[in-house]
Amino acid sequence: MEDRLLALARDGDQNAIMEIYDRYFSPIYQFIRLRTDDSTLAEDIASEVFVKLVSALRGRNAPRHSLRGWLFQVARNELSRQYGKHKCYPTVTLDEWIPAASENQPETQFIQSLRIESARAALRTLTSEQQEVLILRFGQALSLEETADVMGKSVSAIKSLQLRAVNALRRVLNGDSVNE
Amino acid sequence: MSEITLENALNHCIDQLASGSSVEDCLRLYPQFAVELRPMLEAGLLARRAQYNALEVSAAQNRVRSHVVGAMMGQQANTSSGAWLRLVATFVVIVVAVLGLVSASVDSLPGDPLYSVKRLTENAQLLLGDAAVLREQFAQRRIDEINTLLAQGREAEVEFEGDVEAINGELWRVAGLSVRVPSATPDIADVQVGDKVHVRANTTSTRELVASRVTLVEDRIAPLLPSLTPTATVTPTLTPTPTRTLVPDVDSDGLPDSADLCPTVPGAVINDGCPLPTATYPQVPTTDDDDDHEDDHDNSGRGSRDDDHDDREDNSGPDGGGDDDD
Repeated sequence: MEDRLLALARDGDQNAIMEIYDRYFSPIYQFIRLRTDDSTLAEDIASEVFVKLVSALRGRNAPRHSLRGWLFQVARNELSRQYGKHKCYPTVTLDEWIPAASENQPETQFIQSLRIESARAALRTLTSEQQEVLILRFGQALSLEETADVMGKSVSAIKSLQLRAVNALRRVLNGDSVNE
Repeated sequence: MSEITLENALNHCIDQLASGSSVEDCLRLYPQFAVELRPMLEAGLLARRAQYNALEVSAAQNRVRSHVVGAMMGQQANTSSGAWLRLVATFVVIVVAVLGLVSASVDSLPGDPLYSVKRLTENAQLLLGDAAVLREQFAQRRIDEINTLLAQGREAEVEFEGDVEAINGELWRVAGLSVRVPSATPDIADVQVGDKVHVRANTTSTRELVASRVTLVEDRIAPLLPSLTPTATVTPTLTPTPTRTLVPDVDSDGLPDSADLCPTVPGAVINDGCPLPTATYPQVPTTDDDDDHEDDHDNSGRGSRDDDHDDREDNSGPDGGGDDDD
């Protein structure tokens, strides 16, 4: 389905391009939005991603397969361009992370009771790659291979990374001071 | 199953969650890791729960849509304007190239590589300017080119147009140029002095101009004949003799001396080369209010002139009238 849509878009079918937009705007925006605390900036970056797609389709250098992965890759590059080489993404320090599981409350129950804002803040205490892998794998349901492509890593590296990421998040949620 | 690690179990469970399975479903697959996997999966799922609400996403999607559509349309416009620019640039390059060629071709002579460009340019000019004036200019240009070729002793195929000024055997004078017209040249029998002809010829290294074809463009005598038909005596002289233009014509009245009954006095062909008696001309109305003669308008005009100059020179009147007809 995705390949058929992409083939149509490559042939200049504007309806196909808009269908791609409608299908992928939300996941792309969410990915960007969770990496920044500025909704306007997130909107601008998302816009840039799809304008780049239109441009790539015209220039015949659009992907032939893995459109979703290509879009996330462009979004990631745009984020990186926005925040620079030092990846100064908005973060939340452990000191700022107030909610913590109390000793008499089961961890799972505590996680489930977290407010959305707290969940976002907890995520932002992680490293950039840890955040990305969790957003892509859990949040956007990308496959291991797609995630590896987007992040430019091997499949095994992503496997290890996602394990480290969930453990790091657990430690944050439990109020541990060590990130990994 | 002995190779299953927590890392692999976690990875598989993430895939299961992505395909719609619940945490409990995953834990049933890996009971040996259930205690550890549960909080890991619940923590990971925070990345899903942390997503922004649909209202914000939808609003952003609507706003960005116009940018994407604009980009699509803009690129079309850019492509269109780009195509136009390329067309204009191509046109400019062609114009510059043609102008360069045209400029370089101005002094070219028949046989030169750029001569065809020169002639092509002239044809284009004829379409854009005063054709009559230009034709005259270009005709003179052909003569000048031939004179240059002859002066340089260059061999080339040429063509030109002009009046036949003299015919002396194979030696003709056309438009001021001496041309040798071999007797075997086709279709020259009807040509006589005073006719306008188109000549194809070759310049030789011995600085001679030799015709290969002579085509009658205008017969200076034939158009006059109908105006003379009122008299019954005209008819027998209408048919020109094929050979008369190829022999000397001392009085230049268009009739060769051998057939001219008055070889030293210019006369009319229809009168065997002798001056026509004035009585043979049609009756000329003497007053403007004679409406009965309206049909004789052409003849009356010519007759009026003749009346004004009632001497032997009037015999050249038909020639002059012929020029008028031209």
